[in-house]
Amino acid sequence: MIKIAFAGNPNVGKSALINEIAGSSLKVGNWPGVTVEKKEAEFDYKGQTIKLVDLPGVYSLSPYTLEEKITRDYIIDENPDVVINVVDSTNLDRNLYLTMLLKELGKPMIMALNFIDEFEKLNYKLELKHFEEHMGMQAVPTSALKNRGIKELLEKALEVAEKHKGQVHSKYELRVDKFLESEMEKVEEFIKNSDEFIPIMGKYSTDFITIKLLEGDRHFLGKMKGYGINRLDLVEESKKRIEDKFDEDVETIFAESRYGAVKGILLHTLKTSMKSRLDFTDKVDKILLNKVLGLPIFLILIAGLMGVVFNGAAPLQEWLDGFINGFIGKYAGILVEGTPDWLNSFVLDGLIAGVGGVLVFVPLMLFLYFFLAILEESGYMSRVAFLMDKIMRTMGLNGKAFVPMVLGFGCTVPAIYATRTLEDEKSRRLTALMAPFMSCGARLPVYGLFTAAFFGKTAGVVVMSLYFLGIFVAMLVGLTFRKHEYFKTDDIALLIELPPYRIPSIKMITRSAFTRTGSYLKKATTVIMGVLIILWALTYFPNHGDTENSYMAKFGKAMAPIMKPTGFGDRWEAVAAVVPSIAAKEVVVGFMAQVLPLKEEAAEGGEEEVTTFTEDVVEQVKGLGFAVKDSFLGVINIRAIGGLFETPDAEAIEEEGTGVVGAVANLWAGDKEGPLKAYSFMVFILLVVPCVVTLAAIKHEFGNKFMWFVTGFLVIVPYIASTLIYQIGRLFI
Amino acid sequence: MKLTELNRGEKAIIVKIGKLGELKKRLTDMGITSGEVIKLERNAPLGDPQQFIIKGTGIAIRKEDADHIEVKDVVETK
Repeated sequence: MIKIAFAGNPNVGKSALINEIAGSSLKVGNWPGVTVEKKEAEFDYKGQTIKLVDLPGVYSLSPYTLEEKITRDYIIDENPDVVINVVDSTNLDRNLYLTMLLKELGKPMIMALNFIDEFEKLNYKLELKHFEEHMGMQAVPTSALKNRGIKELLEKALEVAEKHKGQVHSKYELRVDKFLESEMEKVEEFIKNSDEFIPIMGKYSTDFITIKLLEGDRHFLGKMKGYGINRLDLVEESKKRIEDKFDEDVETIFAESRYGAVKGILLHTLKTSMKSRLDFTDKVDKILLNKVLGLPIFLILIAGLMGVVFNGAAPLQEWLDGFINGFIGKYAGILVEGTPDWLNSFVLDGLIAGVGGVLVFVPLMLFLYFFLAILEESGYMSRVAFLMDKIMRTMGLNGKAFVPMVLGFGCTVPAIYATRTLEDEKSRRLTALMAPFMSCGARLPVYGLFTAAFFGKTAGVVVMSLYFLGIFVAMLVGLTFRKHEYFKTDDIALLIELPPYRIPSIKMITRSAFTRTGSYLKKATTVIMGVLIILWALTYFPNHGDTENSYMAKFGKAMAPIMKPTGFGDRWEAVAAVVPSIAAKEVVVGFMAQVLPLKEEAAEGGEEEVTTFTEDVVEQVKGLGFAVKDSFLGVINIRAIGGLFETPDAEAIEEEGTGVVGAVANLWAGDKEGPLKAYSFMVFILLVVPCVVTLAAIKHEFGNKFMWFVTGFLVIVPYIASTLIYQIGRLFI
Repeated sequence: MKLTELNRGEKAIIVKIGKLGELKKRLTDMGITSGEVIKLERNAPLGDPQQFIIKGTGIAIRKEDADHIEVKDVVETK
């Protein structure tokens, strides 16, 4: 098997290039134990198995960021047969710095001069032969967009891999200052003469060891300790001599030498024109980052994102829900007819409803990944960080965290997945901890029910206050936790590139949206199904679907005393409703309808229409057609976004069970603390564990441990908040 | 003078990057080294951070960090 690793700066079109080479065999996952995305592909080419690995986009190989550590460790430890260094040909000055660092690792390399179409448009010229000689590697001009050089790149990479088979390290020659060179030679001498270094000589090149020892690279020194290499006095002396002579730290001196070497090479081989790669970007930024227009345009774009993601997905989600629970449910019902009651209910209410619970999120995921990728690939996401930095940093967050937070108002699940657009692991975690407090759409029916029952005309204000409370709690959480080791970013400074605007490749974005959604299905299904089936069992047993006497109800009754301080704990129905709300928040409404005594329903038109299988299929296909049309209309109708914040009215809620509003009002009828208790309950629902799909998303992105932490956290926080609100509120009644 | 003292559209040469810990290394990695020409492109609408152009790339840095970067030879561009 031939292993090919792709390395390069961020925004050099690395992913698009891999996509073009690997096609549909590309898989998306995470690097072990971290939330950094890993793309891999395996395919057969001319009788060989080829494995491509996309290393995270980095500016250097220093040990400061997770991405850089991953890239460096992969190339050293996993020993790829060849490294393809993807560079932006319109910005060689900066890009070749990483090339120099990669060369220090001494692995077989080849360069992809990407965006060559743009390079030519700028009228730049590169003397390829000379350039290759100076760089010590072959360079292939490529363009993923124009499908140029793709095959040649792969062929040449395989050639290089074949030629260097079994070779340990190629010699690297960084032209440096004479004094620096003599000190480097002393260290090299020391390395060659110490037995301690023998075990690592196969793994690292001498150049690399020399430079890293002199730089005092933390990550590397740690690894050396692991090999028992501690006595480095001689290196320290050299280091001191160099720093005294140049009045600068060794890291910077080496960095400047690398830039110097790059400058020298480009001086002889590259001819630029009067045109700049930033000409177009400049014009766009004059508007998008404008002092006056910048923020309003940003807010409109974000509102548009919300609109297209949620309104675009909603009709398809609705259709899927109907298809699974209505159509499949109906015929599965016929299949299990005559089986015991519990089996019947298990298949229909447990299994099929569970599958539905997983699948209805698929359209949402596709829309989310698609439009997020457009924001990212076009270069606008970096501008979001630039525009929002001042506001978001007060909460210890990166400016980009604004996007997941806003998505949270629609649904927490995409908010969690959107955290991957943030640069560092700790910011991602902190954002994921805060996002669930943004009141999502599924909580609205609960607010609708309780405000209709207890607040009447002031309902709007009450719901509004809940939204603000959520934001307030999120801010408190951010301010508290940003100082904690687990969330605190190592380097709080903002340093981001604002890359040139580029038109994203729709083909690549579509493909990656499908791959990532597929990954959601694979990773999240078991968790979601498992929890939903447990919840079903808790409501069904032991009394065959009699919710009022189910384990769930018993649990509510047992827990009620503990919940007493929150105010709503005096009604077990309210306490018990919290548990099924983990399936999905809106379930609270249906649960209330089941456990509270409703007015007798008038059996009007109870006769169900009898339809044949063919009619049903036609109906479903028609429904899908309408859903696609509505989805399209939802995407283009930006004004529909207001609908995301519309609380359903009493009439809509009564569809869940006639009289449920009245029944809920009866929970605390005549109690002057009734509205306060209802408010406390809504606050609890606002802040408690959002739903199982969110938990599955957190597990998928951040791992098991963090999921359990969040779960516990999202039980304690609502308990404290509801208690505070009730206890303080009663002083005023 | 300090980098933050540049006016919009002005270019200058970087003299030295002061004590910034890890950030100094990251700045270096992105091409911000002494001797390079740096241009203040604009401030963010809320005043901070600032966008600079260096080595043909736009880069955003907060003022508190840009304060540690020493520049000289300011030239006004169009």
